[in-house]
Amino acid sequence: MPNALRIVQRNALVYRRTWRGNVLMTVVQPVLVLSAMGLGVGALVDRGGAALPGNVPYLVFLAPGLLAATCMQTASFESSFPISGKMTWQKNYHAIAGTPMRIVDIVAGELAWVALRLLAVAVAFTAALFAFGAARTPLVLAAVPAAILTGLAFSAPIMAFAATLKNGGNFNALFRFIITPLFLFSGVYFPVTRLPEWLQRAAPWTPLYHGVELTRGLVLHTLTWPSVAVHLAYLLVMCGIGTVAAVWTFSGKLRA
Amino acid sequence: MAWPELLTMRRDEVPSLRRALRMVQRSLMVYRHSWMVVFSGFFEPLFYLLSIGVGLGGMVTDVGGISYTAFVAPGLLASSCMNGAVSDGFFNIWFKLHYQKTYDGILATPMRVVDVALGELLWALMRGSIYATTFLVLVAVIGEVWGPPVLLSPTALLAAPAAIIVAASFSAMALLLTTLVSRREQFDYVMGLLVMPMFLFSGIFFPVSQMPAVLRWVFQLVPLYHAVELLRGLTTGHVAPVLLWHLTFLLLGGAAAFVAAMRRLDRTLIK
Repeated sequence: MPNALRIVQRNALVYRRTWRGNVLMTVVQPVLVLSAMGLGVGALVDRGGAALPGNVPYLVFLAPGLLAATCMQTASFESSFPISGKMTWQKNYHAIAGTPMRIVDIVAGELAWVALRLLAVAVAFTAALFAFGAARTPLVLAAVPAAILTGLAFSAPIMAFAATLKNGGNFNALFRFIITPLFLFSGVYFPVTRLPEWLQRAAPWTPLYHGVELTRGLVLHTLTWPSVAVHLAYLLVMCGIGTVAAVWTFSGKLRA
Repeated sequence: MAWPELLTMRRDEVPSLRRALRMVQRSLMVYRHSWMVVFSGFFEPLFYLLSIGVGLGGMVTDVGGISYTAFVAPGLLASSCMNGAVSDGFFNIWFKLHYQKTYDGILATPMRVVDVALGELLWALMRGSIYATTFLVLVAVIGEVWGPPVLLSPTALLAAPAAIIVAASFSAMALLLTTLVSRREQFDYVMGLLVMPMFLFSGIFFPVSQMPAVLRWVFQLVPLYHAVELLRGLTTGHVAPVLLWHLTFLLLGGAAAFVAAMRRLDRTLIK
């Protein structure tokens, strides 16, 4: 078994104690959010007759964007408190670093674990997409890897950041000033073309925008190949830089 | 247990305000070092208002005769009271209780469990009140500058004290919740089955009248629904006797939760 998988195995053993509530949340969340925002607010939006890309009902517009955004939130949460806790309070990584595990293995293992969690979130969400009639072709399944990639693009740099914090960490500023604004203004709830001019120009520089465009484009078939390449490149580069940074910050803490 | 006993407190269950204020003093000292946590709380409802209220609102025609921005804003005020109560009254206190053992040290002094609880409640209430008033001022400005007006009637002035009552009521309920949750894993149930459904379906984002009529009775039991209706009535000037019913529900619900929380804290936490 590759060393990184040992981390996955370890996390899975811990997860066995807590999975019930977590699985419930994973399954219930998309159903609740799609009912309230997709159907409830959707009824108000569709009555207003505002034009959405592809002229789809609001629910169909919203669902794939929410899929990507939910993966961002799950990945961010899983890469913040748990990582910081294992680094400072519980000192798990210090113990692990005393074994043949290398730091690269630890980071790769944690990322693989987040990817697994994202897979569960994305599959549950996609199932809800079918149940709500927001999925039109089997190609929707391509949205699953796109959403997972979106999540990992956030996971890696946040892990790098989490490892640097003391005392279990304070992620307030990260969530309140980065994750929440991205969630609200990256084109999930309304097209970015409705934003003020300066925010519209800023949007293509932000990560969730690419995740949302990619995931939504795959579901609604509105993608062109050059734009796929741009979205993928942005997310992959962010993931790569984040991973390198995480190996660096983990080393800083564990080799001291 | 008979009802009268549920609603009356024994003398040792009655907290002392003087001691409780010591807890507030402690919080003030602690948060001097993590002011970011307090400061950032202002922005959450504001971001939601700009995104859902203004951005998404641009795609929605009026709701019941008022602009979508004016419809959503009081709802977000109510939900920020709830979120504040959940994070301060539930998560924070829970962690202090089970992990940081903050209270163990405090209880070795003349402070009693009920004093500590009242103090934490007062602190949550202070934060909630500041957030609520600031939010009202901010939405008034946003309404003037960017979008359709949000505060449609002079009765909006009453929304500030009403929001403080809402915050107090939710804080007491959150404190009761703290005493009912014993394991960390149960957080997922609290969020997934209680907080999130309330946030999404209490009429913040769309009128509850859109939902099946069967649910109308269920909503009479949902605190956030009462809070949203009360605050929306005041900010939009749709003042009707039914607002008194919403207010009564929140006051009685909060008081009952407070008494129950005091009793449970005293019985279960002193080992």
